[in-house]
Amino acid sequence: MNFSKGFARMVAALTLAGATFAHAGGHGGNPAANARQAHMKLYAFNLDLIGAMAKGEIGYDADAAQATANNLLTLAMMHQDAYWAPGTSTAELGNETRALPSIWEGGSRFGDIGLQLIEAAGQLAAAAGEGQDTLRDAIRGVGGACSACHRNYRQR
Amino acid sequence: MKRAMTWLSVLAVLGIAAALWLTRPAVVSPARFASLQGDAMRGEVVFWAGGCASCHKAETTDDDLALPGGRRFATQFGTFIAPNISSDPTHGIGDWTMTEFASALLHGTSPEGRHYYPAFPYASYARMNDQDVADLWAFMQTVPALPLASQRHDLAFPFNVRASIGAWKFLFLKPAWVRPAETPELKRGRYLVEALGHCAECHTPRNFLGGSLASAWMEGAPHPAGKGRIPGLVPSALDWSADDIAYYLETGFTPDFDSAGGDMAEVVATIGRLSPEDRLAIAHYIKALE
Repeated sequence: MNFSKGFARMVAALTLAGATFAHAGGHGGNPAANARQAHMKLYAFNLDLIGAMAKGEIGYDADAAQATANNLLTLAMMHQDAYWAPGTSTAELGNETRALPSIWEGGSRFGDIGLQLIEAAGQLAAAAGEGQDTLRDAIRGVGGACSACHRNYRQR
Repeated sequence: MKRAMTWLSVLAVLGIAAALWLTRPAVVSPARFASLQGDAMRGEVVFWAGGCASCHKAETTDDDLALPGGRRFATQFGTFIAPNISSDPTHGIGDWTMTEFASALLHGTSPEGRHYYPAFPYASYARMNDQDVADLWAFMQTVPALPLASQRHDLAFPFNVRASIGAWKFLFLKPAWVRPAETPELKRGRYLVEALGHCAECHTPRNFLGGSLASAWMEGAPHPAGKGRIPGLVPSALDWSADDIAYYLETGFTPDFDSAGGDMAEVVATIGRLSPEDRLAIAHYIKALE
């Protein structure tokens, strides 16, 4: 993710998001942090569906697995620079977010891990319709990408 | 009176000398390991189960076989810095003997005959069986040599006095199993949890001397770095099913599909490489804790 480019665009997007939230009757809180958390909830919801199949808690359904994996890939590929605006870490927002300042510091691997997630989600989308075992193997890659980021960049 | 004081001083010196002698660094006898042949393939499983990479790998890489150390661990005693355990003969452990390696894992004693700090979880590794030590040693010789000097720990007095670790070992190094295990699967689970996986090192609170509190074993603990809490694993603290636990160790996903973070992400990265049977054995042992 390139944080240096399009800062003005990002601020504009943020302001717009803020206005939208305010207009909608106010969830309160920082709009960027809210958007990130909503995005994470969508990951979790879709993973729950596909994970239940991988674990054998519900029956495997190739079409449903494929559709859900496609959702995850779409989510991973969304352009998210505006969510991850500088100045929205735990240092500035306290308990409103668990995003650590190290995301935005020099040497951050945050962007690389984002690409790792896209790759893993792509492999999941290719594997999801191929059977329960294939699905189960491919979810591990997605989990690895999630943890790779939460390992260093999310507040404990 | 002066004479009595002199005698008391002599007794005190003798007492300290005796205490140091009694708590001197222990080593294994070379004969015990002389006939053992290590198998590097089996040793790799021990390596992943033991979580060596979680602490010793470089901060800046995802390569779990690059083990130059350098990671810093802030605690109430000061900051421990993981040493180089790559196969480099100068900076790593490449020129050790199997006996020296065994003394490090089983007794917390360095090849120079000094105590290691228990941040190195030998209190758990002391439960390892000898063949696993030999296999792990064979594997450690296959990891890349990285010529990076180990750094000194940054500890405050009195914790920077290594001789005091002998007293720590006397008080807290108890290699007996903590909990019973009846079936072969539970025994394997116990071995993975209590010995190799060293789960209790973080999931059990410690007293002011850094000894694990046996009365609160695996009940969860404050994070040693200050912020956050390490969850308990006993059933009163963790209501996940055995399958949930095994799946978490496989993928990092909780039953709610949140994902492992922080230090536990490192654990999943290594335990995730074990066989499904081993992960299930861990899960069943965790569920059997009363």
